[in-house]
Amino acid sequence: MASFDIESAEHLELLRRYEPMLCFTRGETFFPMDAARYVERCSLWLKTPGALPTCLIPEGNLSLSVLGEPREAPQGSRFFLKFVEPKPLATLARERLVRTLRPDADRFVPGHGRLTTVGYTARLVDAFFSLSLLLRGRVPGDAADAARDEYRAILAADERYCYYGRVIQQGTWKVLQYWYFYAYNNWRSGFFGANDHEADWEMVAIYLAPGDDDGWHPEWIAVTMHDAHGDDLRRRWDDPIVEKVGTHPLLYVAAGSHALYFQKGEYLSQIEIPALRPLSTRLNRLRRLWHERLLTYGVPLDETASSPSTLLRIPFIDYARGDGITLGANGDRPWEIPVLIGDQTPWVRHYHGLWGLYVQDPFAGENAPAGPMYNRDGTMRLSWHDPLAWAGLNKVVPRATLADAIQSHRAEIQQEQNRLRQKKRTLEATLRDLEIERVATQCQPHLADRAQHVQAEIERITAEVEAVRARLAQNEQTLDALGLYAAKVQDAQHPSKDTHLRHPPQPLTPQDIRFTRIAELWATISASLIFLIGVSLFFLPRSWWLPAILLAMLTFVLVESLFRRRLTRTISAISLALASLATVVIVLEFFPSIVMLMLVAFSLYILRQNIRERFGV
Amino acid sequence: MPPVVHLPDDMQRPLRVFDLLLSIQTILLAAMAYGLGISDRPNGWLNALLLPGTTWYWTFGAFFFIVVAMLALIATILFARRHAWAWHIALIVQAVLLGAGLYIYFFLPPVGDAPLLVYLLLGLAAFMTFYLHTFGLRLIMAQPTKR
Repeated sequence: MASFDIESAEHLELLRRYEPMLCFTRGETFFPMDAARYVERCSLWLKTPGALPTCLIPEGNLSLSVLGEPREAPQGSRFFLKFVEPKPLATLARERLVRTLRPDADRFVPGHGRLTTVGYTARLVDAFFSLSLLLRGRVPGDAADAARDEYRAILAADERYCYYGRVIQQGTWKVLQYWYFYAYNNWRSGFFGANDHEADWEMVAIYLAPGDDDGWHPEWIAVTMHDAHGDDLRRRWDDPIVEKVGTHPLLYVAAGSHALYFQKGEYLSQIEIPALRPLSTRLNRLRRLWHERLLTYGVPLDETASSPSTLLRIPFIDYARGDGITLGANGDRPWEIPVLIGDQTPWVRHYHGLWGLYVQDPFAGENAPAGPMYNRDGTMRLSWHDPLAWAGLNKVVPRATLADAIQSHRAEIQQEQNRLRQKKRTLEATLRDLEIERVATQCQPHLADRAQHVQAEIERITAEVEAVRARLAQNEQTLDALGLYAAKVQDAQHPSKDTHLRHPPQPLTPQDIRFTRIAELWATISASLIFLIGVSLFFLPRSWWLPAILLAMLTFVLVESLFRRRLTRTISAISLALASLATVVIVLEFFPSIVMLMLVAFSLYILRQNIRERFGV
Repeated sequence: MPPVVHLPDDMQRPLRVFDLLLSIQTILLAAMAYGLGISDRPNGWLNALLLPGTTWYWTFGAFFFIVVAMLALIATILFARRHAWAWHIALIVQAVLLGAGLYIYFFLPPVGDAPLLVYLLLGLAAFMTFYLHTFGLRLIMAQPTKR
């Protein structure tokens, strides 16, 4: 018992030493809270297949300990919590009117439209996505208002800002996990985002490694963010991008979605529609071929070309502006003493259900998330089960042991070199014997079979020797490279801080966001205009439809490319497409003549070559 | 003024081909504009290019080819002086010519067929476009350090 307490105290001390400071965006409604007080205001429900949800435990009778009791249910069932009841329509209308007439000083001010940052296809997909909300399950629009009132009541009773801490040792790393619970995610209803749902769990992981002084030192930090996974989730602790106040990293929380980012700014988050994924994959392949093989723009791939195509993704902006309140040791409000959680915490381990309303959304975006340990489908979260693999750190050696690890790897390669040299010697000895035999048997007709076999063996072993030789040479070069790396590590020179990053989310730059009002206006109206032009075609004669559609498309493409400063690329792409079409037309119209011309040209070329060879001219 | 691009010696040959092709195209377009402009001396060679019986098409055609020919001339001069803008203008000329040729082929009667001249125009413009893309952009747009 005593050792358990000491360990807990050590864990708490580590957690508090590095606890992040969270900077919110102005207008944020929900902040990290005590999950116990949330659960006390919830009811527990069960949805079984083919039946309406049934309330198992009504509001007022639920607590974290009750939630943590193991439960059984039929296959395909889903446990979920329900936090708020929708407000009466009259109340809702009155409140909206009051808010419109007397806006809150701390309200959110939207920035430049998300649609200005993406193209037409994404805008059209976005329009269909918005329409799909009418058909698929979603959290009722007034739930956010009700949740806000409920949360404010909790805060008014006792203003506390909490997180849950988990400390585990994995390999040579010690991982500090900070789990933040929010009562509601109002990204869609509050900040023009993708989804709304009750409850929200977000996490920050700090990876400590043993230092020379036997203490634990932070080396990496990873956060839950949109549009990133694996290596892109983490940054080196000493990376200047990771702002710090003392030992506390400063992180920026996106408004409504509560995704976390290392830099403040507005992030373009793109959601892929599962049904469009095959089409998107093919388009990406075509795009890569266009850029890499055909070198369409005459220059190597740039960053935008190597990033995934945004053509069929729905754009949303994550506003992580950092202009709201800051929670943390030196912020506007301090953290409460954290609550430690682990694999054996009953409500973490035994409650596999959702932490809020289950609306049966097939895309799952509007369904509440599960707890820190589980995904929505009840499987274990990678970030809980294997925090190193989650952030791509399972392949990284802590800095303090890196020199030893390099030496150890060099020793392994040296051993392989010794084995390969021995093998090469043996093979070459066999090769010499075979060569003697080959010379001896080559003029003996009665040993033809043997000679053939020897020749085949010589060829096989020669190829094997060649492979061994290539491996030896490659290992030698690898040993040299490892030696250089070891020397750098000895001199405390480490590779660049961001070599592990592939497509890390970056805040939008002013160039990404179109500042001109005309561009914004165009982005706002263009999707609707496309539909209206489609309707106006019915007033034209049928024979004009195709030219009219082509003309409209051309106009839209040119106007858009003008705003995006891609007019040259667009004209270049259009001219290539037209040239390809013209080539097809000409080939189809003059196929026999083209074949004849090519044959004549070929025969003349051969004749020229032969004459040059015969007469030496 | 747009920057003058200095190219290595081994890149000069494709650019000389550009100069030649653009010059031929300019002369051809100017000749077509001239032929269409003389409406009182009907030219059977050019007559097949446009819809018969309407002088309005002749005037429009002449004006169109004058504009394109002037653009091609500007591109030729800029190419000769090795200006990066030459590529842009030459490409616009090809896009306009391809668009006009394909419009005649697909939308003007008889649909799906066109006079021989239109095919010649299409073929030359398509070849020029591919050539511009294969060499021109790499040579002119890319900075020497990136090549």
